[in-house]
Amino acid sequence: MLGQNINQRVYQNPYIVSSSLALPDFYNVSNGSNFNGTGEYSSKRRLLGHFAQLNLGYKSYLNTEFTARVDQSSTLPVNNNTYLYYSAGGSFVFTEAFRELRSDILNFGKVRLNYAQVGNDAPVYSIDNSYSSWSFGNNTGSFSFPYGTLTGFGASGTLPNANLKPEITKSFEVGANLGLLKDRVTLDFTAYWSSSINQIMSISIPAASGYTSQYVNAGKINNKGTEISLGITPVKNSEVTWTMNFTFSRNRNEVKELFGDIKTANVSGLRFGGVSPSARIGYPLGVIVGSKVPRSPDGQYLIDSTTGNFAVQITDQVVADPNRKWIAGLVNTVSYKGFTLSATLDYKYGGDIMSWTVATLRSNGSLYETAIDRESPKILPGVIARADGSYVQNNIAIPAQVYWNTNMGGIGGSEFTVFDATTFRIREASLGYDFSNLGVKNKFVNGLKLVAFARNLFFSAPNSPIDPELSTQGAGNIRGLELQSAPNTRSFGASLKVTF
Amino acid sequence: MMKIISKYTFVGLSLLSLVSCKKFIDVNQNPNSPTDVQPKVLLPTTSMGIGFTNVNQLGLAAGLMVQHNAAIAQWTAFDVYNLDGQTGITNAWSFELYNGIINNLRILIEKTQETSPAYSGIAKIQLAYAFGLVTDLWGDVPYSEAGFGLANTSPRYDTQQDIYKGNAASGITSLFDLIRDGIADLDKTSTLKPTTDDPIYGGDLAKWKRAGNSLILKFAMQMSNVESALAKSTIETVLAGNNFINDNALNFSVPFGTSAGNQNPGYVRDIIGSFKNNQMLSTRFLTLARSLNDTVRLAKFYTKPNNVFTSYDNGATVAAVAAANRSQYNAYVVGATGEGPARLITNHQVKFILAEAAIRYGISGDANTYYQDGIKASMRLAGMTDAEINAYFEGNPAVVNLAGTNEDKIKQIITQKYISLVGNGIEAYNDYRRTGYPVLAVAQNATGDDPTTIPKRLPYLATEANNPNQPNPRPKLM
Repeated sequence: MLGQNINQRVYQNPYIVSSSLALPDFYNVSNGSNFNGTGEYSSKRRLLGHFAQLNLGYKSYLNTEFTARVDQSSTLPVNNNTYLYYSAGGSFVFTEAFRELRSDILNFGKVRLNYAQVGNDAPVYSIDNSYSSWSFGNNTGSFSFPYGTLTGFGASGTLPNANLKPEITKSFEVGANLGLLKDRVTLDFTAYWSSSINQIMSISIPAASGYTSQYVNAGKINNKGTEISLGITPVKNSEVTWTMNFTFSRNRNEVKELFGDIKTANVSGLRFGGVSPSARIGYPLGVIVGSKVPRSPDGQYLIDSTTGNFAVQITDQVVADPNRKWIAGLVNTVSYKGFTLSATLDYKYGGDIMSWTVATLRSNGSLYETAIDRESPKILPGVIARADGSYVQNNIAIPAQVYWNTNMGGIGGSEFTVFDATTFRIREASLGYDFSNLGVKNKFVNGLKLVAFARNLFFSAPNSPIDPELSTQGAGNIRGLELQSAPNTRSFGASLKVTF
Repeated sequence: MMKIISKYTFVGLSLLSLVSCKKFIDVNQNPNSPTDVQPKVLLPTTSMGIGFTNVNQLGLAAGLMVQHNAAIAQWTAFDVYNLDGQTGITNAWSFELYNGIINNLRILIEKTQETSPAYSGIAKIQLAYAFGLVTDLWGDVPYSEAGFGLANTSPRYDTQQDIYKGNAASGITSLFDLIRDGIADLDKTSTLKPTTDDPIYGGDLAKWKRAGNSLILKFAMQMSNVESALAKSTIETVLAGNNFINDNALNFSVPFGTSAGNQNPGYVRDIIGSFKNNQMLSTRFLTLARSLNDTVRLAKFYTKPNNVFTSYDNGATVAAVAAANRSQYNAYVVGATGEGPARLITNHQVKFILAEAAIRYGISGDANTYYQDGIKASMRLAGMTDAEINAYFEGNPAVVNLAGTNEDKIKQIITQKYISLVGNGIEAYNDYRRTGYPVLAVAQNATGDDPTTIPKRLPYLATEANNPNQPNPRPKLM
């Protein structure tokens, strides 16, 4: 098969922001009295692809598939805008080839192999200079143009790169699918290895260059992992069906190379308080780099012998890794006559969350732990180094305010606001009834189904004082950094589905 | 048959699109941002930038370390010298000075050097101000190779000595020559000339020359401990040229506005923003002002709720008085609604520099006259009436007349300069580190590299460690 693909993506976001509405509940721009900003962002990108696909099968049990694709993208420099994808894969249904293997226990078995290379283009408008209306500062104080009738522009902090090449990811995967006990039990297993090179990323460069980041083709990031999906149907008869679907995934990621001599690059996105989500060689992508209290040889915190505070912290340390060790999920569904009861549970093991909420509340003295013996002086855990090289247990009392505010909370205490993010959650439960069998079917209505559902019913994070799955960053690249987010909502609802 | 035709049609279409695809995919022109801009929209950015960075977090940190102010909660780290990794400091380096001011000044100079040197002249004076601020605070910093983008993404750290004095062998132009080049540019024929796009002097190039020369005076005195001969000759040359800031109306000040987004960042930070009420008048500064009977001027600098000054001690951990009753920056510093200017180089500052130069180097003019003119210029700028100023002078002869040894006189001069610099903590911090005046005790609960001393410099940024030229290990702050 041969084909061609034309892809155009157009994005347009014009906006007007106004506050102090004159009439309540009338959401129209004409109702605003205080206009805070208008603007527009639009982008257009085009991709032209040519592809070919070849499937070859032998009998009904051996299948191979070969694909090739050439893409040409508008976002890459003209002389480097074409890149190749290809893949080769095969599967072998051994229960078809050797029918004698089939039994009541094993009714289906397949193994598969696949190798693929995929390419990717650049973010739109990353190869030319750009200037934008300037602003200085952040939420502590800021200045932005226009200033009266005065306009001020400045060069974008990200340097363009007119020599970008396409990104390439190569991956290899092996897998097996098994059907057991007449498909009452199905098992799907996959193991994969992938390596991404020439990734197009905006990496941090020394600001002294006048710019803070630059688009480069950089680095090598390896991923390997396993995914298992197990489906079980313990009960299946004319009235009741009960299915359980269990999933497990485990991914290991390592940054192998960055750009030039660079060992650590910030991941772009919102950050503050001296901690930086980073790509650091030898660590998984997204580890959070910040300051740590120095340790004695036996691992205790070092305390300043004059102040009783922690000794001056060591910067540029990995303090948190937001990546989960593994994730497991279970979906249980029971159907009885027209009723369907379903529950989705998941368990995410490992990974860290750094909580700015805890840092702030702790430094303000608003947490329960800060209220215990609130007025009495406190002693930080740790040891004091003596001149002769030995260590003595810290015995310097400091005011509770200094203990919580300077040492354990706020910016200074970032190391102490990292928690294990292990979470068990009842993500969703629902109960539905299908009216299709109750005579509602007629010429127009084909089906009618009513479902009541509840989401985020319960969670337990035994080692974290807050929900580790709070998302502050939306769809950004930064993970594991909670910046005083609103809590996750629990929602209840009902849906009615009518098919015609 | 149909099948075959459709196949050929398909291949034909593919070929057609291959031919026209060059045009089809040529859509990467950014509709949101221009790829080039005129000088008149760059100058406002750099002009407001140098004012912004002087009063924003760097000014905050310096104002706390010199104990004009004391921090209550949010800014305690600055007050107790826990400076490493503080976002306010790192942001100023990364997103105000180098990316914002310096890179755009480099572009502006490059664009206008040949055809419109009125712009490049102003830009060089601003660049010298910006780099002076960076090296005064951080020491050895990227200078001669900094701000050029792709041309050099790992700029060298030039020594402070080379930044001030230049080094021909390493291709380093001194700050003084940078200003002199700028002043020379202002005399050249220029196709484009700034007007309203110059928020500082409205395009008045004569005033820019005065600002440039006054900046030379400041840089010269900054070297007094290490290069006294050069400082002396440099100051004498400017004095002979008689073209520097000698009137409050000529001050090198960056005006802010009253509308949201255009206000003095100190006003937003301390008075109305989400981090307001986190610093107030330092008990130590209040004590000093009272000891000099200087409370009329103090009330111009700081509010006096219910006619009472309230204060907080640096590094204290006790509860402060209720926010409504705190003495905070008054309209002189931040404006009644945020229009307070950033005063980068002022008439009173110049007068105090000349007073000090008269004592140290015997330059022409009377030290006591310069000194008294400095105090009067500050009082007048702060809004005191002539009657109030005269009353102060009559009532406090021991304060307004220099007496004792030369060291005593310098102490008097710098103490008055320190008071007049409320709102410009950075210059007060420079003078403190250079002269040791006024004598300040370290804050309570001090931390940092050496809790027994006020830090001598700001810490280098961990985020700049990807520049192999950054000194490693990063030097201590004491």
